[in-house]
Amino acid sequence: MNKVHVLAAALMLASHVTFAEVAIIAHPSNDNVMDATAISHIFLGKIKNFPNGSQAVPIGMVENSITEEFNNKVLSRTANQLKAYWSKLVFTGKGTPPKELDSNTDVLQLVASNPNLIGYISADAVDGSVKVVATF
Amino acid sequence: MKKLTFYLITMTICASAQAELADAININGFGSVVAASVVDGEGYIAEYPNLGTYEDKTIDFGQETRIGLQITGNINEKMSITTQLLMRAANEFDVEVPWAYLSYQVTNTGALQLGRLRVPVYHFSEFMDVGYAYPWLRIPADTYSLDLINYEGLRFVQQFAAGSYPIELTFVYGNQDNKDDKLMSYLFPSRIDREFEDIAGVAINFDMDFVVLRSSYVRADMFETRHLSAFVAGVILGIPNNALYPSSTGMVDSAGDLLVAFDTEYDISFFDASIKATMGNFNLFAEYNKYKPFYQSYFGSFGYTWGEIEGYISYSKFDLDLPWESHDTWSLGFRYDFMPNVALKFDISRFDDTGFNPFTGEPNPVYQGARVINGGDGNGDATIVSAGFDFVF
Repeated sequence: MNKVHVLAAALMLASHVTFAEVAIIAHPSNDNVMDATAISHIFLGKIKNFPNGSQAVPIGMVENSITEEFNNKVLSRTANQLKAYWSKLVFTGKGTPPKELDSNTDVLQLVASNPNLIGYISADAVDGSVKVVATF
Repeated sequence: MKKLTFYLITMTICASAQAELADAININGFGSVVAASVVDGEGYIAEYPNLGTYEDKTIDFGQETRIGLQITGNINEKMSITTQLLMRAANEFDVEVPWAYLSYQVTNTGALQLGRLRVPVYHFSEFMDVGYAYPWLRIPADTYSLDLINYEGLRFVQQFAAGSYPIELTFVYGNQDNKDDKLMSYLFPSRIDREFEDIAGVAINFDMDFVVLRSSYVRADMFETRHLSAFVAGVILGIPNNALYPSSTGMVDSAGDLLVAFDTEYDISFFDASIKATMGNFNLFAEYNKYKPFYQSYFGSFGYTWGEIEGYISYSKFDLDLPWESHDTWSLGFRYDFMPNVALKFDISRFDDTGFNPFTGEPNPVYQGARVINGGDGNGDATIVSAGFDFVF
């Protein structure tokens, strides 16, 4: 019986890891349509505005499995490659990395409060307070 | 009225959210600990502007090792002040200030910076000390040998998009005074002072994600004062007597006579073009630089990434317009990101010096210890093995 539980738990864990989707979220009033490239430009500081011309401020999260997935799927970079990328900009006065918040909930609450923000969280943490721009 | 109120409230929310996102003070740092040894040949200049030079077959930690510390104070939403301090082993860790500027975010996509800045000549000019930012153990000395690195003035950086591709334009203007220019004084004893006036330039960076194109053009008026012995000036260089005047440095030559000086004025310009491409695990970098009226240089690299390891083979070349100085380097190495914020690097380089005296045909190696007149073998070729850690915090 115990064994079955362990197995079931392991399977759930495995399926969670495999199917955890990253949701790109913005304020409900944000009606911009963006693909992965456009989103990566904002998160890499290469583009500072949304397609409609309003200011875009990316919000990051501390290193966790969602961040890793976001880096991998949207930014096409490893955490170390991103650090090397940002070190170039920081030490030449050309940019600073996105502010990193601690959790899905923190990102959700902040993005829901400001039309200029864009963030990423685990798709299963999304609620009605934000708009999902894309999922990966 | 309602609309305006809504707008003002939204603005206030935005402003407070923005203010919350920026800390009052940010401190960041970077550094490299590099150990290297000449395994074949007499010596190798690994870094020109500060003359980081490996001289013999012992392992030397004291040339390219460096530590940088950057402090940014956010004054308000639009303004900040940044200072970067850099300490190099090659300079006995004397504190230098590569960056010290006031930054004003004029628009969301345009920033004006005033103060001490770096000249954006080569692709890596502005961050060549931040080893963590690139795969090679060092930016090749053959290519990055310029003595004009910093300036005091202004920089305006404007970002925009061409279709969906980001473009960044950088404009610079300023002046720079290099008293006792370290590199030039080494190459042309006894001492060279250089003043760069009306430095004006533009750099463009076109980012197509997997291919990045960059080009820059910088011009300046250069006023050079060369201090040297009367014999070298009059007899060897043939400078007419009426152009010579007593050096104000008070320095004397080997016979105890006061040095003489003469002035030369140059219109200088730099042109640089580079391409960076990534194709799956392969990456390619190529750069060309022309410094008028003195030299041209090249840098090419081919890399392959296996997870956290990136291997590279690179080639760099320097050609003075006159035959006196000419050299190239082949390098083989890797970067290993073995833990967060730290990269381990290893490099083996073969340096080939082909510079010669056009009057006698005698070799004229850039590393002075290799010159026959200084007791060297006159060859100047060298093989160097280097290892190092690059880190950021």
